[in-house]
Amino acid sequence: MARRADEEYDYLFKVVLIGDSGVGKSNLLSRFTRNEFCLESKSTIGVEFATRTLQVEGRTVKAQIWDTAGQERYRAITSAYYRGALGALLVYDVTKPTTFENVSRWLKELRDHADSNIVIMLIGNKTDLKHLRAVATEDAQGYAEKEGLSFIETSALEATNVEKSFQTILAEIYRIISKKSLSSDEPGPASIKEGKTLVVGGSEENTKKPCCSSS
Amino acid sequence: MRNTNNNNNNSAEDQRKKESTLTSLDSRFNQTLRNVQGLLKGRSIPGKILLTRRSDPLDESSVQERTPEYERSLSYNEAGSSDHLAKAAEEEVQSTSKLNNNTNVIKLKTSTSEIENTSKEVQKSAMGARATDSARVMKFTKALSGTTVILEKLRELAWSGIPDYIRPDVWRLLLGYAPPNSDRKEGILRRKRLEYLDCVSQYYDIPDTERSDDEINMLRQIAVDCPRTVPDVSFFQEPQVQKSLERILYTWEFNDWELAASYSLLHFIQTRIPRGGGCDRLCWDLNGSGKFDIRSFYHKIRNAAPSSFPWKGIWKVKVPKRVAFFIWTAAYGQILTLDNLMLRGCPLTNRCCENRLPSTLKKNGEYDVKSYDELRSSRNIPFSGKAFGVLECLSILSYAKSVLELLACWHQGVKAWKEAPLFIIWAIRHPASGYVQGINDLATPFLVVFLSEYLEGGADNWSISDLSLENISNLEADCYWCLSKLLDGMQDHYTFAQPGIQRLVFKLKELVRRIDEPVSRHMEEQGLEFLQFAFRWFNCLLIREIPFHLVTRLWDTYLAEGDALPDFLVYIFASFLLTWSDKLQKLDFQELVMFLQHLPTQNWTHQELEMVLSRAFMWHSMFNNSPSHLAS
Repeated sequence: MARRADEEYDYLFKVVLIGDSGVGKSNLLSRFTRNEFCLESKSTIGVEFATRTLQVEGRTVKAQIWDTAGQERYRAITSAYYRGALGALLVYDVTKPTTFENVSRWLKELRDHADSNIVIMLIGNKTDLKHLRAVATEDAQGYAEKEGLSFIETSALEATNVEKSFQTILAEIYRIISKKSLSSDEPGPASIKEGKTLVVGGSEENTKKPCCSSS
Repeated sequence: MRNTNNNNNNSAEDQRKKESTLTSLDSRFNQTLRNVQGLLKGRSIPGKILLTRRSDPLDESSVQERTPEYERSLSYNEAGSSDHLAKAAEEEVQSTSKLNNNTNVIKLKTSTSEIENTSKEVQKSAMGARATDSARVMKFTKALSGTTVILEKLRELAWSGIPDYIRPDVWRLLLGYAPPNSDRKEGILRRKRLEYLDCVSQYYDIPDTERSDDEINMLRQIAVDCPRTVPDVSFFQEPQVQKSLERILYTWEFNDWELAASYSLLHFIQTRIPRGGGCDRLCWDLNGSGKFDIRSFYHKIRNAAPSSFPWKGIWKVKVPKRVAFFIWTAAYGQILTLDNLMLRGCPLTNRCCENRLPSTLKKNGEYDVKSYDELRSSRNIPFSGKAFGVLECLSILSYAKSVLELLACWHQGVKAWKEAPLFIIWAIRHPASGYVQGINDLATPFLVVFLSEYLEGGADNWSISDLSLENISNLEADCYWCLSKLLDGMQDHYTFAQPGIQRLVFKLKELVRRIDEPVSRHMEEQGLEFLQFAFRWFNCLLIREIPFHLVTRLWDTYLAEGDALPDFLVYIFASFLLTWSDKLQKLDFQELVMFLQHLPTQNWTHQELEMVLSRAFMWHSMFNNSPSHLAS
């Protein structure tokens, strides 16, 4: 069971994708992880999962992304996946005002179930449908500033800003984590224990493994 | 039980003496053994003892029936290359079905020319050479020919696959939608189809202004999901099909028998003229008679409970047993009703509480929310008359701290009123199952199967525009009722937090642990939760995991299981999972999740599916009646 080269990484970040159903969460994920877009995708049941390893601020980061079902009925199931997530991408559909109106409910959901220091990014998806746009960029921008979220508009279909959105949130997570490990100069066991959200422990383990298998 | 049968019947003479039901059970078991033995040859699975089958006498037809399957199975293992094998199997299927069609007395819908068309078609009609083979067709015809169909017999046959052209009829029977008595069939189906039309016009064909917020949300959700249903089959992309699906799913929302029950209650109450009918008067409500007596007064001032447990109020009332049981457990505080959920810090807005009952009241005209509020605010006034019961019960409910308290303080002389609190508690506290993403998938096998009665060929070439409006509405009605019947057996799979599914996922984990300890241990070490992959399996009954053309065959078995389906699902899914037993042990956490969420079943044929089912059947007979078997 030799580990492939791309399995080596410095950090493992867990990120969740949330938002109303039909806003394009699964396609954002497939665009980001496999550079694919499927017009006829099925609805997500429960939770789906994908990963991608990429460079963030000169470090190798493995993003472990959990794509959740949008329907309210599933929240009892999906909220279990918020635990331990360092970032959340909260997606709405720029052509459907209700999905934007529901953003505040999703935020509450995150604040109730996720770790308090979770990095949240608001994403307005489907910008390719220009003639159908119903949520103005300024409104969403303003809301994001008020709530202290970062904000970006994307199109999974045209692959606009998808890469950038993931890069941004991962960089932000990285900055927070590196700041944390700086503030407690010695990243001893105490600091790891304190923030169980830090999957830094996982990265240590993984940097060791390749050495063993290569020797 | 099936086990012991097998062991005890050593000689042929013994077996002939057995009753026919036992024999068929036995032969099904043997058939399963054959399949499994062939396919599992060389693999170490627990329960090898079972694989030593006795040589039992088989009638000619069943030998014919099994031989191809058995040989194919053997070649599966020996050939190793599945590609090569699939081709060989296809050829074989082709030749056998040709043969069958030639000799067949009954004209099958799938004609030989069609079978030769494309390889895809062959796969589809393959149904195993078994399902379409003449002996089986004969058996089915026989089982269906009498005036009364013996369902047990039909289940037995249906379990291993139903020939395409009788599948719609068999499914309707198995689900209890069509009556076993063929004389009554026409009438009942006609009535049910009209009933569906009524429901559609009452719930679906109304302006949004008459819908509650929940209902609008639900409709929106369904509208989002319908276009995403089986996107790989072009037929489902037809707007008309999606509209039908939307109607079925949305109307299903209202097909709570609970709702029907509360309607009948209201109807009952409305048609009842209150006894006496005179002016309102004060009465003593500490006992049943309404007249003052010392004893009740004494108990009251001593602050003693009138009785320890209101068993009379629960069991003596004429309500469905299901309701009585529910209220009984609720009264004991054993059910996560709203107050319990509150205690556990898990408040939820129960849609029926907010919407269902009031809207029920509203629709019946007489009781509207406003008057209910007025009455509640002045509830000190003693009421008589028919408005009293429901409203008073509602208001008591809003004051009473527990179900027990409500039942204990409910004293009504008139018989009809005794039912009121029970139905109302049920309607308000019983968690409502509602549309959950994935239920749209569950409607599709019904659509495809019932459409096959109207349209020729495979689903790929269908167009719903070839159907008359009447046929479309009959088709929808059939799908609607069958979906309802199917989901009735899985009530708590689609309620809040989906406890039914969580329970089955847990059972699956336990079963896998008992069957294949290494895999189970590996998954645990990797930190993989069964919920992470098996949730979707249970939620969509595996529709998402296998190619669509295999789904109807799988559902033959589901429907044949009937009420036992939820339990049997666990075995099917364990068998499905352990198809990749070796592979799973080589994967780490992330690979596991990805693999299990995108299983390589795209090229599956009936063979692999039969394998999964046979093994599930075998494990079920091994484990189900002996919970500690192999639990070392």
